[in-house]
Amino acid sequence: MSGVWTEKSVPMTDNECAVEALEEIGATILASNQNQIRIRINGQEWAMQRNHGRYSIRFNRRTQANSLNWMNSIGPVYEEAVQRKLRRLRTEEETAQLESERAEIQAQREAFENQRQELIEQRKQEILEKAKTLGYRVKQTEQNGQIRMVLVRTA
Amino acid sequence: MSNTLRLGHRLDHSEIYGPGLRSVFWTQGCTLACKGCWNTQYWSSRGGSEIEVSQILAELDELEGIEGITLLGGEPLQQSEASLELIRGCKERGLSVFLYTGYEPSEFDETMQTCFDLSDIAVTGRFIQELRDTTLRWRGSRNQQVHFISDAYEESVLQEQTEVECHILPNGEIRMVGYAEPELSNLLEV
Repeated sequence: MSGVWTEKSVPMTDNECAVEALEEIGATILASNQNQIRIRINGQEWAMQRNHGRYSIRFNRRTQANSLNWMNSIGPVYEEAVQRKLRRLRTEEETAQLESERAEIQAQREAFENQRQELIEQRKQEILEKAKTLGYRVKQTEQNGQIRMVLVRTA
Repeated sequence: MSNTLRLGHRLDHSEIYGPGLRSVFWTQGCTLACKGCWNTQYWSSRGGSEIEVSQILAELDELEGIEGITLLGGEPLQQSEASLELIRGCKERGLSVFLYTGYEPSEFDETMQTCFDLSDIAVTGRFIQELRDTTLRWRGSRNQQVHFISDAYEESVLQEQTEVECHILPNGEIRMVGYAEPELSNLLEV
C-alpha cells in the first residue's frame, strides 16, 4: 500500500529566529544548522528542511497529519522572534555607534590634554630660560593644577 | 551685617607679597595717584567687584596652606572699615596680615590706625618714581617703610631681593605679578 506523502512548510528565513520560535511553542531542538532543524515535539521527532526560504516537513498525510498541528501556530511566533531580533540588532548597532563616538571623543580629549601639557611645558621652559638669562633663581611649586614659579634675584 | 570690600584682583596663593604663602587682595580704588604707579587699573573706585568681607573670610577658611593675607591695592585704607573687618577676621583665624598703604602713619585716622596696629607687617608711604628700586623686597621705592608691628615675624625675614612670580594656569595662560622687568613681562605678549 502506498502512502501519500505530502509537505507542509512555513516561511522562515532566519535560522536563529526559527529555533527561538520552535522552542517557544514547546519544541526541543535536537540539532540545528542552516539547512535543517531536527526537533522533538509532542513526543515525536521531526526534521525540518530548509528550502527556498521555507522550512518544510514531509509527512504521511494519512498517519501524521494531525501530529503537525503545531506548525499552524509557528508563523506568528516566528514573526515575533524576528521583530525581537530586529530590535536587538538595532540596539546593538546603536551601542556600537555610541561606543565609536565615545572612543572618538576620548581620543580627542587625550589629544587636547597632550597639547595642553605641551603648552604648559613650553611656557615653563620659556620662563626658566629667561629667568636664568636674567640671573634669577627659580622655585617651582604645583598646586591645584597651577604652576607657581617664584623668581628671586639677589643684588 | 558685614562690610563690603571692593576688590580689583585677588590671588589665592602667592609667595612674594610678604613672608610665606599668602592670599593676596588688591583693593579697588585709590585717590593717591602716585606718579609711575604700576597698578593704575586699581585707581578707579568703580572698577573691580564688591564682595562681603564675611564671604572673603569664608573663602579663606577653605584655602589650604596659607599663613596669612596681604592687602594692597588700590588703597586698602580708603576702604578702612571693610579692611579692618577683614584684618580682624584674619587675626581671629590665626592668619597673619601684611598691609600695604600709600599713606604715611601721620596721615592715619583712627580706623586706619587700628588697621595698621592689628597688622603684623605694614609697608607705608607713597610710591615715588624717582626713588624706584626693583631690588627692594616688598616695596617699590626707597622711601617706603617696612614696619614689623607684631612679634609674629623677625626683621631678618626682610632680605632685599627682586621677586617676580609667574603662575601658569591649567589652560597654559601665564599670570605674572611682582616687579617684572620688560624682558620677563614680554613673555606675556603674544
